[in-house]
Amino acid sequence: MLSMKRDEFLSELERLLSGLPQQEQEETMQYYRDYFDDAGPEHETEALRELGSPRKVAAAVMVQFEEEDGEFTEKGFANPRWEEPPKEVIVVEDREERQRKWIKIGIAAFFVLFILPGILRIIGKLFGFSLNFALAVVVLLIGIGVCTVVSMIAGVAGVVVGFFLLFWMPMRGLMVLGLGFTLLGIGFLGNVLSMRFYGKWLPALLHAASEQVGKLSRKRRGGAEE
Amino acid sequence: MVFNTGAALLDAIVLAVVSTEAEGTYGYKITHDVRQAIAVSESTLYPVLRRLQKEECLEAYDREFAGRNRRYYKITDKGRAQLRLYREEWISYSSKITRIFSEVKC
Repeated sequence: MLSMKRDEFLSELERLLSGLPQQEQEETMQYYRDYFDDAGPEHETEALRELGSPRKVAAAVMVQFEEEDGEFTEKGFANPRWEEPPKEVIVVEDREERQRKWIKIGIAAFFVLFILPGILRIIGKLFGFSLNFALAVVVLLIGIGVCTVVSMIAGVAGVVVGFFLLFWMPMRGLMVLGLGFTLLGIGFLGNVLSMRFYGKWLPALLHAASEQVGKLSRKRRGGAEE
Repeated sequence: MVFNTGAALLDAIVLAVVSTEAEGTYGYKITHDVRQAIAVSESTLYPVLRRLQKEECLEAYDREFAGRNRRYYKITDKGRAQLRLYREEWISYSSKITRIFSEVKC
């Protein structure tokens, strides 16, 4: 602990006290900041030694608030929470999960930006479409899905907001409510359409595409053998 | 030190130390003054000050010192009454103990 500097000590202490009420945290931090200021840089090492570890200082503060949590042992008052702050573990897990999520998003973005145009071009060539036409089809396909989701969300929001508005401004509430229901209706319609698009047409399209690719590669292999 | 300082005695010593300064005194100085009498770890002292403050035996206020706000502690009327009680108790207690020791022959 001797190598620990004043700032490290204070920020570690602040972290350990984060479970306490705001006012207690501030009071404690003010006290120990004062303590170091009054000790001065020339007595910093000495002050750090006298204070011991931030965990010990935090434990002494928290004893007043958490007596129900801990228990008296032969080594004095102990609280399992002081032994290992569970926060660190949670933070690490969070980070890993977040990383995985970002990797997924990254792969998806890469796919959309670089792979998808290529696939579209292939599809376009295979079916004799122009690239623009294929793009339009895909935009339509994605667009229907997006419109469906957006109108569903907006519809639900409109219904909820409209319902509550009824109590304040009945006319406006009715209007918003009506708008919400209309959007919901559009959403449901979109739902049916998307089911057709994504459930039947798209798989059929992909199936046809993969068959074509299969034929092409078979041809190529055949060509290599000759 | 072989004798333990209980919570009440620690309260009494801290109150006594703070009471000597009419204008109030600050954490670092309190620590050093208390340490003149007993070996107390710094981590114990802040909770004591905080508790005495909550029991309204001490009041805290900030005063500017060397370009920053320093937290000062001052004894209240309630704290002074409590301190008088502690002092009477201590005088009675310590004189009894002293008398017993004075009769020891060895």
